[in-house]
Amino acid sequence: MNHFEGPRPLLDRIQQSALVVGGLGACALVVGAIFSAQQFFQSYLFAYMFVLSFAVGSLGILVLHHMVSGRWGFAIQRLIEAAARTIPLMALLFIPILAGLSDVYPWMNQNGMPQGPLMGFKQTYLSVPFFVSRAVLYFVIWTVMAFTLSRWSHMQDQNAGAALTRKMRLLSAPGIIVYVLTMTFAGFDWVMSLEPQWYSSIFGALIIVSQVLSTLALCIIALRLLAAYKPFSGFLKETHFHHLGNLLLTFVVLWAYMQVSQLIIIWSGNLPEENLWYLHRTGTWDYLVVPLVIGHFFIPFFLLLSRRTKRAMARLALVAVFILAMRLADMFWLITPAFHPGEFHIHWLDVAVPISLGGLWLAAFVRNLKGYSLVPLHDPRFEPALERVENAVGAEG
Amino acid sequence: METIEQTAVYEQPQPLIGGKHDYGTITDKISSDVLEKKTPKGLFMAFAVTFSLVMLLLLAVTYLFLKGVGIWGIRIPIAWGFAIVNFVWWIGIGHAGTLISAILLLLHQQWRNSINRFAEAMTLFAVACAGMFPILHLGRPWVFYWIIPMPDTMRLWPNFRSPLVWDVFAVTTYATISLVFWFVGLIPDLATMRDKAAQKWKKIIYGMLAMGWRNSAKHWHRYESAYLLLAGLATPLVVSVHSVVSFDFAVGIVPGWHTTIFPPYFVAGAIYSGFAMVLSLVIPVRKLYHLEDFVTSRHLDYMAKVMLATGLIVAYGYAIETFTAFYSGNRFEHDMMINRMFGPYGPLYWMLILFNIALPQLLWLKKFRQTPWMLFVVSIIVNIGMWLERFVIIVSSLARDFVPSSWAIYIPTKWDWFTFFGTIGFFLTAMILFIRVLPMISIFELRTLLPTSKSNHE
Amino acid sequence: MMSMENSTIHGLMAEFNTADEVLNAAQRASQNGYTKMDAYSPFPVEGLSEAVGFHKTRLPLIVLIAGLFGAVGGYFLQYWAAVIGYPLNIGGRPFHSWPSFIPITFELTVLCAGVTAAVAMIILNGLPMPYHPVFNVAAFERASRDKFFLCIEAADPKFDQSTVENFLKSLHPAEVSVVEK
Repeated sequence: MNHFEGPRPLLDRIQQSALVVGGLGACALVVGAIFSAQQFFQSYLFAYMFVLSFAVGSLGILVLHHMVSGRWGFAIQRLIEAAARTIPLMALLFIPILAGLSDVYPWMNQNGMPQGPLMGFKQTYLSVPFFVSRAVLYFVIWTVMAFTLSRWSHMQDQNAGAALTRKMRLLSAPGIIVYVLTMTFAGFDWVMSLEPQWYSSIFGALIIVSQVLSTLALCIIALRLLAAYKPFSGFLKETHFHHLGNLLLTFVVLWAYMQVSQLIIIWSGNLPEENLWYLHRTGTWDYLVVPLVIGHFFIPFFLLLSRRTKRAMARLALVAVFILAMRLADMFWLITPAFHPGEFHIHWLDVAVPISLGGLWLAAFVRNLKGYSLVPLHDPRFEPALERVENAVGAEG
Repeated sequence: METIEQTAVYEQPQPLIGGKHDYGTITDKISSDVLEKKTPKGLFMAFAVTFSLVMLLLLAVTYLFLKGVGIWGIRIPIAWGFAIVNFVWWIGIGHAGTLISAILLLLHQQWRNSINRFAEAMTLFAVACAGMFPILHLGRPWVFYWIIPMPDTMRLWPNFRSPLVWDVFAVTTYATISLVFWFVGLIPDLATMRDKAAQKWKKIIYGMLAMGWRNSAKHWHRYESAYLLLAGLATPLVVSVHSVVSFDFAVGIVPGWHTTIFPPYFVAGAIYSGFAMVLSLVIPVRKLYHLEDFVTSRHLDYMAKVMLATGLIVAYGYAIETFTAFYSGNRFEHDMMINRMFGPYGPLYWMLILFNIALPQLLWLKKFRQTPWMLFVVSIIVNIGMWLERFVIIVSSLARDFVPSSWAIYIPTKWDWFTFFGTIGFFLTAMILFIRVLPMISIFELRTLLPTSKSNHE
Repeated sequence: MMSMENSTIHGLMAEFNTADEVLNAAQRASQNGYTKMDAYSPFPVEGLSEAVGFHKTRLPLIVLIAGLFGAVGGYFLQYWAAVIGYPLNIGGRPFHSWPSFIPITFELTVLCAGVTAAVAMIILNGLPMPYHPVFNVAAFERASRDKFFLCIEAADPKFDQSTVENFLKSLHPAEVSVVEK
């Protein structure tokens, strides 16, 4: 590896292979869709929600980063900007879900929609026109935010100046609120409504925390791959990984906290319209529950407690890969039992669709990454830090 | 080092210590406020008022012990009146202290060094006030120890499925760890006080508390390790405490209490009210003791921002709670929400929205964050708003539960108010005594904020 | 004063005005082969404890063990009371209501670990210690205000009073004093 070259060849390689995998996968999917349409749409929703995490989660981290301006944020800023600019692609990929609405969402059918004198609100909320217009609204808002922030950031590469930083901060403050609200309701619409009788007010927050966790893990893996190349080789230090590792730990714990809170409240209350959700997700689904408890919380928690793990980039990246695998399993556990309550079920499409969608998304992500500097230039919040690090390195050398 | 780079030089923030100070002047200023300077007149006047309130508390509690909880306004179905409202309010206030001392330490937010001692003391006294209420509410407070799992002649054990038992563990753990954290933080400063005190008896008292601390590098090493470990433990602890408090409500199925967003939104609300209380206390004390060099307008600005952020999370909680009540289609949830907004306690709900959500949005404006008296007014508003929140949650849900024939109205009696104001007096009295006998700002941590404290090796 | 026996003195102490000076002095002393020494500073100075030859503390391990003890003990307490000691059907919940046992298990973990962290720190530091020779140096009370000290102890195998004194003076301290026992 040449430390003084850009990562262009690496990125090209990743993009090509991702595109091939995604393309081949897509062909397989057509076969699947023809032979078992319902299964296809169900697997598709699961894979879609997993991949969407990276796109929208990046937007969430981006607005947060502009508010707190941590050093870790500048290291991944261009990564999350590129990922956030895949949102239009995600909007396009949402179309199959719209096509398969009645195969996926029980409230599409008369007997799947809860009936009762006070269900009017829910029946309106979960009606096709309202559902679709909300989805359009989310995607428009996310796209506008992602592209505006990216554009300002790229403009700043050309001309130095604090004015653009101020603008980015000004948009990001309300941006956080907008992101949290839209993603909460997107989580309600697309995942919670799979069981229309069920409701849990923490669910939106849980989806957001999971999404940010997935994105952080992806960023750590990407940084690890790019660390040897310019411009990262010039300034990336152990502390960047340490900070990202701490964030990863925080979100692992937050995920567990929200899951446990929801469980304790629903388990203790034991109301029939609530506890069904857990009954659907246990039984033979315990094969997944037990590994999730251990693998999504205990293992990463203890690994990430150690300072050594967080400061060693290769080790941290391994933990991140493991967490991504657990995120996939968790998403599967959130969604699939809605179609197969209480009985573990997996289909070859549950493997093929994530690979295919993931490949397509990765190719788009890498394409977005190319063409701009991989770190923001001339951001006055970042430049002094960059210079100081370079000076320190110079002094040591 | 971290904060300097994190906040970077974008807005050229003013330094965290104003004026011209070195290690010596910092030490002298803070220690002499306790050891040498005359107590400001204002403090005496405040003490007169707060101590009278402590007497009122004594009166209220004595009468309560003589007569029983019937002197309060609680009536079935509203068995949880002021006692629980005040319990939740006080324990929430305590949370800011732990957030400042533990979480901000882990986040390398060095500005916390100027206010952590003060906020931790506030935590301790707030938890003490909180702890009083459930015990007074017991009816037979002298047997409160029955809730502690210990072998007795009845051979019974507490019901570990009950959140009220979780609460006992959570609150006592919280009080213990807060005390330990506070004391560990005090040790080096107690040594400073020992070395600075002129009178022998003061030297002996501070010396015994400092346990012979001699600022050894080896001791500092273990000290920093222990301090970080305590911070790492206190961080999830503080989240767990208010989550457990929220379980007191959410685990039951009373409409308006049983909703899964409660734990995170209670935690945010706790920090929100805690920061409001820190500001309500710090702003006058800063003026009284001329601490503008150490608690700068930048500190006020940061605290205001934390308050704004946590306030927004609370607003999110209200919004999602309301949405879920209607989305659920559950008769009881739905009616509870209508009742909360337009029922007998409706005006309080709208006042709560005004105080807790609407007015604090003024903090978006820099002027409100950095002008002390404006920030003080907002912080008082938030304190009242958060108290109203607990009142609305507890009382409006209980007053109208499942069976209309059991509906009732709760009106607090004068004894409720006496007890409540009495604890405010107790809290403020304890704070005044604390400022008088201990360094209210962590001297050794303030020293590390001076630029010369960083060695060139970093 | 310089003629005193080694057995009656605790060591020699140099006073410095800045953290960098004391850190540098400690590193030099360590390079010169001194092993028994300690530095004193009004706030923790990064790298100073390593310079005086103190590298790792067992504290985190002790705290981890205490935390695990609290977790296991906390869970066992509830399990024993609810399942073995006096099983009681409450609201139809299973005796072993594990979701309900999570909060107390967590609280007891933190309680044990936190109290242990503080107590172990105090004990490992050898506190409370009402008397220590370093306090005999009059200027030492400024270690808790604004001065930095390095003390090379008489217990050091290489300790020779005049050599050590010359060595300390070569570091340009504000003052060198004898620490009497």
